[in-house]
Amino acid sequence: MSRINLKDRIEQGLFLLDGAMGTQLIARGVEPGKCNDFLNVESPDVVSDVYKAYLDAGSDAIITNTFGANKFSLARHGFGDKVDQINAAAAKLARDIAGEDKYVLGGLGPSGDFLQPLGNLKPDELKQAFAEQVQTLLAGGVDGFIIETMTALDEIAVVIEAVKSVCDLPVLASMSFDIAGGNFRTMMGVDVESAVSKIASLGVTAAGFNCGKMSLDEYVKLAEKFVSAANRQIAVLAEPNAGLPELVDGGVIYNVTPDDFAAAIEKIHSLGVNIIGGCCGTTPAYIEALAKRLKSGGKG
Amino acid sequence: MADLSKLSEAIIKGDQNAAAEITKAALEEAVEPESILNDGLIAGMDTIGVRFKNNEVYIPEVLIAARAMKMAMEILEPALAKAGVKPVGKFLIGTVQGDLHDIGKNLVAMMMKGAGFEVIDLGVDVPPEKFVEQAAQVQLVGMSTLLTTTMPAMQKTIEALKDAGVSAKIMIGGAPVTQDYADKIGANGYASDAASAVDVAKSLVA
Repeated sequence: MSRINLKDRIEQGLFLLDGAMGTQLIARGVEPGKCNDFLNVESPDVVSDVYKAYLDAGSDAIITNTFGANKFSLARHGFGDKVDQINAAAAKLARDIAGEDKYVLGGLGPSGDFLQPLGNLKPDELKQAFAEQVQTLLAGGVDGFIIETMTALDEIAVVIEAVKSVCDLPVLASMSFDIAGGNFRTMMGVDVESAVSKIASLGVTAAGFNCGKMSLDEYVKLAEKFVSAANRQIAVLAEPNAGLPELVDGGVIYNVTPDDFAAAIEKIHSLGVNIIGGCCGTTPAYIEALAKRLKSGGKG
Repeated sequence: MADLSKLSEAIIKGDQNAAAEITKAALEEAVEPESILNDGLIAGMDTIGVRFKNNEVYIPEVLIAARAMKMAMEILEPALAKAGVKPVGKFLIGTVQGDLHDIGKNLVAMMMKGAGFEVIDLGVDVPPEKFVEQAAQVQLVGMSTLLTTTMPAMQKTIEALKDAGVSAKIMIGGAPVTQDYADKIGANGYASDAASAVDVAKSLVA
C-alpha cells in the first residue's frame, strides 16, 4: 500500500527512523575522514546498501545522507560548489530505495560555524544556504525534513525558517545534549525547556534530541525532561547513541547490545515518544531489535 | 591609576572596548606590561575558565571573553615583546587527520592563549608528519578529534611523534576521548573540556 502523508503517519503513533550512517559506510569499506555526503555521487551503491539494511531492519523512514551537505560543511571538503549535485543525488537514491511505501526525510546538519556576534555567519546567508539545500532535497521527492545535532538556538531557528520558506512539509528538529552540572544542556548552554519552547514556537512537527555523550539511563531521563517540557503541545523525537564509545584494539566499539538499546528505547517510547531512531554506534541490528520489541504488539 | 581588576571584569563580561581602553590607559600610566597581562587579562580568563568548568557559563561566554582578550593583546603585545616577557610555554594544536571539526580545537587554543601560552594552530585534518614538523619547537602538543572514527589517528600521530624523538608532552581531548584512551595510546594528558586543558597543560610544563 502506498504511504499516507507524513504528518498523518506521525500522528498514528510509533514511527521508526534509521540508525547511524557514517560508521555503516566505513563498515562497507569507505575510508574514515572522507566526505560522506559526496558518496551520494561517487559511490551511490554503498549508500543505497545502508538504506536497504535499515529498511529491511524495520525503519519506517530513512534519512538522506546529507548531514554535511550544506554549503559551509561541504566547503571544508572543497565541495562548496556541489550542493545541488550532492543533494539531488542523495534524495534520488533514498527515494528510489524507499519506494512508495516508506518515508524519506531530508537530513540537515549544523553549518559548523557560529552566527554573529559569536562567529562570522550572517543569519540571511545561513538561511539562504539551507534554503538551497532544502529546495534540492524537496525536488528529489523527500516527505519531510529532519534537522539534527544542533547546539545553538539561533542556528536551529534559522534552519527551520529556511525549510519553511521553501515548503510546508513536516519538520523534525533535534538538538544534541550532554550532561552539564547535573542538568542537560547543549554545548552552547541551551537547556531542554528553552529548546522545546523555541522550537515549538516555530511551528514544527516534533522537537527532540540526538547524539550526545550519555549512558542509556541518562537518555531515558533526558526523554522524561523532553516529554514534560513538550507537554503534549508538540511531538517528541529521540535518536540516542548506543551508549558511550570505548576503544578496543585500535577500533571504537559501543558496548551496549541491540537488546540493551531496545530495552532503553522501550522506556522512552512508553513515556510517549513516538519518533525514534538511533545515532552514533547504532546499526541495522539495533533498529531490528527495536522494531521487534516495539512493533510486535501493535500495528507496524 | 589603571585598575587591573576592572580589566579582568571587562574580560569576564566580554566587553572588548573597555578591555582595550583600560589596557591602553594602563600602558600610558607605565604599569608593567607583565602585570597588565597577569593581573588583568589572564586573571579574567581564569575566572571564565573556572565558571566554564562549573557549568555556570557556556561556549558563548567563553568566545566573547576570548575576543575581548584578543583585542587587548593586540595593544599589549608590542609592550610585552619590548619588556622581554616570555610566554608561559609554547603549545602546538591541531585536529587530527580525517577530522574537519574545529570548534573544540579553537576553544582550547583560546583558553591556552588566555592562560599566557603562545599557541601554534595547525588547523584541521592535520597529518602526523605536520605535527612532527612543528613539534620540536614547543613544550606541548595538543590533539583534538570529534569523531569516533578518527580517534585512531591520535594513536598514529603519537607514534609518529615518539618515533621522531619529539620530547614535547602530548595532551588529547575531544567528545569521544577519555582518560582511559589517553593512557592506552600513551598521551601524557587528557582534558574533558577547554578550561581543564589549561590545568593539564600547566601541570605538564611545571
